[in-house]
Amino acid sequence: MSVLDVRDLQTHFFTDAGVVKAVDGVSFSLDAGEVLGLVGESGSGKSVTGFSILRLVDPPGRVVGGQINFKGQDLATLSAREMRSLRGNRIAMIFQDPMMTLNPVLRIETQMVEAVRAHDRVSHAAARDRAIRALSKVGIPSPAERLAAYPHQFSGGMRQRVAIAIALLNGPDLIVADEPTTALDVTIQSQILAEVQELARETGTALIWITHDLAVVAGLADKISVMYAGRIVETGPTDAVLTAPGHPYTEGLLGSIPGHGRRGERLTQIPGMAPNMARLPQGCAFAPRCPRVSDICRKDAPVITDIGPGRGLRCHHPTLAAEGVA
Amino acid sequence: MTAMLELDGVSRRFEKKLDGVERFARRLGADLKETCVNAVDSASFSIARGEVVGLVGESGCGKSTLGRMVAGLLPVSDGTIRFEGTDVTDAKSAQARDKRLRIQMIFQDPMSSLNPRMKVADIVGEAAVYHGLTTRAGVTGYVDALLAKVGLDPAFAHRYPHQMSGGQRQRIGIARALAVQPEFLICDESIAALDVSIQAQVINLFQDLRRELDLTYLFISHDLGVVEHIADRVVVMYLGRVVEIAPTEALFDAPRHPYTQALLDQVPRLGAGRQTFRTVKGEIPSPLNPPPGCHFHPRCPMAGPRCSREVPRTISQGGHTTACHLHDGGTA
Repeated sequence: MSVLDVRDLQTHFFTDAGVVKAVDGVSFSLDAGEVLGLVGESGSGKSVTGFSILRLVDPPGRVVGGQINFKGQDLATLSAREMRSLRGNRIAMIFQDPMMTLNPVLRIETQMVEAVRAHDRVSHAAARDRAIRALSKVGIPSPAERLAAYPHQFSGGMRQRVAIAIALLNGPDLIVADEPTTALDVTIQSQILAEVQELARETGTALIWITHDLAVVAGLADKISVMYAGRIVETGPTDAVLTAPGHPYTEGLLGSIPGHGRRGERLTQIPGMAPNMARLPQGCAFAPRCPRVSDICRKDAPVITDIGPGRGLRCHHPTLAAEGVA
Repeated sequence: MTAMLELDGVSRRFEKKLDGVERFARRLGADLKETCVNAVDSASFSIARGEVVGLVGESGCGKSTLGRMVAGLLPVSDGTIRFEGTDVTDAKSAQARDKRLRIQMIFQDPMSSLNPRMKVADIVGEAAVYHGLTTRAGVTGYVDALLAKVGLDPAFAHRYPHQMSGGQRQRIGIARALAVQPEFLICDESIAALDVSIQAQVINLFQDLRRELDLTYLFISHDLGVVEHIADRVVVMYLGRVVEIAPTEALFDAPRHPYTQALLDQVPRLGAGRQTFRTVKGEIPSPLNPPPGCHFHPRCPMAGPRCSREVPRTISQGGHTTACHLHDGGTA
């Protein structure tokens, strides 16, 4: 059974400039131990999707439709109190900036023990033991001593590890990680990726890794969903999406990444920029930037269609690479 | 090939002097010392005309400090910087100042480097008028031409920075740097804050400008993929010191310094399939208290006793420069 099953999620922001459909009909599901890479550029709705799952969307934003089934329970119907007992316990979140998780004026120990005892009736000593185990699991040297430190005494990478350790404390079934390594150096990033990878494998925790960096999820995720303007435009197993992208946007993103073997070549660039979410064009939101655009794209928004096992595509004119697959 | 820019033993120290209370406490016997960070420790390399040199390293390695010294934004503690043969280290003489104008910088965050109260026309045109490259009457046309060059509609001239997207603002930063007709551009993480699709647009712009205007770049970035794409030669820094300099292909195909090897190992790559991420142990140490000898030895898998005793010399071999005992008689 899937750990998380999101169906037609809709999160809208009611602003003065109009209704912003930040998340507009997003669906995906996730099994135990599976890693989903949720990829998109700024404003694509990937973070709001993550926040919606934990019901952390603040006004003027609101989840206006869809179901979020977590182990058979629809999170949208839970009371605030029930939701609170799940957060940090069965579902944890890791933010881009660890200082969003950590309280700057409390010792790490206070914060970690509190997180354990909020959900579990255990002694302070037992909670402390669990904190030490979590810290050593994420590779913090001499964890028992480090418990007494304040967040500002850690480096950025160490702080993010503490935030991850806190997410792990109660052995959650699902972790939503929102760009947790974006602000870190490559060496620290790969350490954290290694730890997270091992964790998903060992404990069966399902993981949603939200990022703008396709290269990061290429090595980490089992499957990828690419978001554009609040919708998933392409989804599928990681290798399939990366080697045979079906959506012109995915293809454009892949072409935009500089890297091995393409030295000095001109990068294929996606012209224009992300649309204004309050005034989306009629039809396909990507149409104004798309090289394969035709009249139908400007009129009718494409629906997501299956093009293979586990592969979905929202496009009137899929690229040739995907036609070969389908 | 003559060097356009030469750095010779360029260093930058940041000192924190004791304040009155601390001096008093020290007199009473407290263990307080003046602290000193060698942000850049004796960097020497040169850049030829028309070349793109990438400068890479982790945060805190001194790459931005080095860039700022070359741009003349930070005074140099030691060493000399020569531009086309002229010593521009202090920029005191008129000639040195004139040379300095040929070097311009493009910053990471265009929002904090563009004046929010000025219109684009003034941001881009101000320096050109001051330096007499255009007249007050001609400045509108001058700015329009620059905007067109960086791929913006001339109508943007009447906007303020906050009315534009991140990618457009970065183009304004580039237009401003180009306004004084520089020959040498320092790009300090200039595309790090941009989305992938916009990043590609700006990288392409940099390459077009290089061809059109015959520019030379010092391209500072933590993103090795970008540097591999754009640079002809790469300089790797670790904790204030240059550890390796090599032509891009040589560096990425056969890195010699263990730090460079480790760094390249960690870069997530497309098409590598499911990766098992490997790690260099530990983190970059505090520059306040760097390890003795080779700064990298506590994290180095190849370290020997000599590494913690002796600072490695810089050895050049066929255009490939390394500062590592492994390539200079062993680590024993």
